[in-house]
Amino acid sequence: MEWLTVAIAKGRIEKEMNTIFYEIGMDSWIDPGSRKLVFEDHENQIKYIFVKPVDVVTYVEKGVADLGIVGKDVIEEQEGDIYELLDLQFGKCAFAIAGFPNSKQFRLKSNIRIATKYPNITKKYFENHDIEIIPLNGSVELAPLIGLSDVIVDLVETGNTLKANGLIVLEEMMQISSKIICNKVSYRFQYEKIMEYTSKISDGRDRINENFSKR
Amino acid sequence: MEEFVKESLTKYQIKRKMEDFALQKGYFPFQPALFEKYEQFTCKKNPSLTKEQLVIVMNGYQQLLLLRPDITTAMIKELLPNINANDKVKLFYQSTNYRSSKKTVNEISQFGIEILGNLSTSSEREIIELACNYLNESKFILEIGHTGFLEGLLDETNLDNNERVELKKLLYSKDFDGAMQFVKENTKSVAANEVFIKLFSLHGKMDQLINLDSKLILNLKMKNAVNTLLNYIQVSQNIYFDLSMINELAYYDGIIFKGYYPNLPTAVLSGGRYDPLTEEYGRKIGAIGFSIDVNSWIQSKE
Repeated sequence: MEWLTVAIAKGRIEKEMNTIFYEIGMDSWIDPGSRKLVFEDHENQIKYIFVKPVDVVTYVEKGVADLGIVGKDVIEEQEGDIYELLDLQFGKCAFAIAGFPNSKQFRLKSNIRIATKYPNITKKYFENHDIEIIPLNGSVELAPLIGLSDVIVDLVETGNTLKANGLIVLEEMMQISSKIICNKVSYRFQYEKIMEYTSKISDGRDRINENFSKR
Repeated sequence: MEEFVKESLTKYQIKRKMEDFALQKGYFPFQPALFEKYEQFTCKKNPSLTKEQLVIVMNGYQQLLLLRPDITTAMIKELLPNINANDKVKLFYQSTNYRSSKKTVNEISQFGIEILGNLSTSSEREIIELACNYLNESKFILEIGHTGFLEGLLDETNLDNNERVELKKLLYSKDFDGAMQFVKENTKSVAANEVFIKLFSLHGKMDQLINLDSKLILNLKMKNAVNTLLNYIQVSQNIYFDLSMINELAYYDGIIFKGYYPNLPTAVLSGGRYDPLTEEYGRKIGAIGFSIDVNSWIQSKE
């Protein structure tokens, strides 16, 4: 059987995945603290590559990785031509429009200025609205404070950052979690191996969730 | 310079081979018009096209013209008035589409094979066989599906048109969790939901289709779809079926298919039966065909 290449988003998703790999006993290749970006699991013939979250979709779409593990937020923003095979049910948060408590009527404005790291998602959501997108790369919460934008579109997990800056959620847009994505050609040529792999991951995830709820 | 000449020659030979094969099989060459009148074109007829993708130019009388964004529609527009009720027209084209993308215009090279007019089952078979013949040069998969299976299944639910589109989007990206959640929240038919649960597993080598559980076929539409696909069991070992297959273009009605090579990241060949598109241009005639992305095709031969 051929090798499978899996691209995993570095950071939080990587850590969550490691717990799943330990749970299902596919952890022989894990080397905590290593700065290597490529790992080979010879036992199961799987190659793991660790890349920035925003690049996972590109790797899978271009076929250099067969599978990818990345947040739905990145998938939506990149609009890649890929399959979303499995919802991993972790990394849960929501896309939301946030702003000052007194801007609840922001939709009434004729040209809403929206600061965001996610211009594509924002554009799609406000399809029939006049908006001006202010693309930022970080500290989006700052934008309304200094008058750069009326509202922001961002991921909200606990809402603590918003609160600390005097902002509130004005409108929830959609729920987000981590997903396993798949290249469309790999899906045809490596179907059995991909299904076997994703079902193992899915079992591991369920077991972890069960143990967690028992505690 | 030597490298350049060599590369150019190789590309030409690959394209020439595609054309020669079509000629040999009795297809005539068709050269679509480069310009279309802007007013006559609507994006509605081709939902995969957005206004932003069109390339618009102006003639000396300040009239707006469009650089051909799609070959199939250009072909139907030109040929439909000349096709009589009993005609069967077999043609091929080697041409270019123009799509605007931000600050540039993309030139998309396409090779296509089409049969228009009074079609029979044997025309469908001819096209499928021809697609296999083209792909045959190396390891490939030709995956075939039928719009009737999913449409028939959706008929069993109480979903309205918008909900159908939303569910199809989820199915298109093989999002099992998303689709199941949507189905649970929005449909009531127990029988249909049983099929949805199994839908993504209903694909594979053609011989598996013979043993398809009859409980998964809920109405005549679905039955006809499966029976049509069963015609292709003997055609090639490389044909696979996928009952959850959906094409990006909504105008397909009937058999649909895509061809894959393991060394390319996307499908290289795509086609199907698209009679409803001809209706948009005046009257409904039979139409089936496929197109090959020429740049990927050349890349796969390298």
